[in-house]
Amino acid sequence: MQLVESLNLYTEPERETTQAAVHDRNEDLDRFLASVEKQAFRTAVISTRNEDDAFDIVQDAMIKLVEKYAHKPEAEWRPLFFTILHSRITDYHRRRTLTSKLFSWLGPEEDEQVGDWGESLDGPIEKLLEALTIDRLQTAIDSLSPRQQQVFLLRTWQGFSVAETAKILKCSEGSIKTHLARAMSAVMQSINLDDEHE
Amino acid sequence: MNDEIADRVKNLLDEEVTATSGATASRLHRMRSEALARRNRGPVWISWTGAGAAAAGVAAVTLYFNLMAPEPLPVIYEDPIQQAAASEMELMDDLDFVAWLVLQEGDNTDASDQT
Repeated sequence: MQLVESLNLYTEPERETTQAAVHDRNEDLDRFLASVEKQAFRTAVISTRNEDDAFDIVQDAMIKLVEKYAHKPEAEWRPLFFTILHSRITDYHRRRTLTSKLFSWLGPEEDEQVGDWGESLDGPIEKLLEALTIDRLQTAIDSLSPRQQQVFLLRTWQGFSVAETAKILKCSEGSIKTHLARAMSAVMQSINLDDEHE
Repeated sequence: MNDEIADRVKNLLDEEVTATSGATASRLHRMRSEALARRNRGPVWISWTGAGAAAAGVAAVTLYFNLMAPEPLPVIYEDPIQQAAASEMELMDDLDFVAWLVLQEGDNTDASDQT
């Protein structure tokens, strides 16, 4: 449609109708992006731990959605947007991994996340929930692998189903379930460990 | 229990989003506007394609007129001034010849008269 617009192939009434449709679409897109941008930014900050990188990731996701998928039905924008966002986050971690491998000879390697995913929980659930503050949650999320973080945020926060999360992250549903179980265990474990230290 | 933890996690993260600073919100708003402005401008490839098509068109027209132009005519006539000068020289040679011939004839006439 944009090619047709740029070539001026519309008659005047068609042009007015098209411009009105584009204007409406832009308003819909604006409303949609406004509804997800802060959540997307917070997701990117959690995943990258760097605000500037998070801004870049969110901006890329916005631009790609607007340029490539604006014509799609509005109901598809949310999963598409989060697919793009998490794809950018995955790319970010791939680049970081590559960079850290290239420069690993400069210093000792970082300790890999070792999953000790114990399910033991002490105390009633109310106590645990009360103990779970944003700082503890952030620490717990930081201890997860990038993929576990993505699964955890998509499932618990962004409200996507297992099937949708699998589609967004381009992996199997079984893998999503495994990642989520490990992430939840890590979060609960971290609350328990914190309680033990207090 | 996982559901309760998940709800708590969701609430905590939602609170974080609600508490987003004004500066961050403003920057996000600006980014959104820029993204939408790109949609109004159209993708970059369209402008590049347009420019490429225009350049190809100009090249094609130039090539067409170069190929279709008639071949230059062979030079039949030389420079008229040079031509005039050349014929003038021939005329001068002829005049010299005629004068010499007249003189010769005059000499012959004188000789025959003496005899």
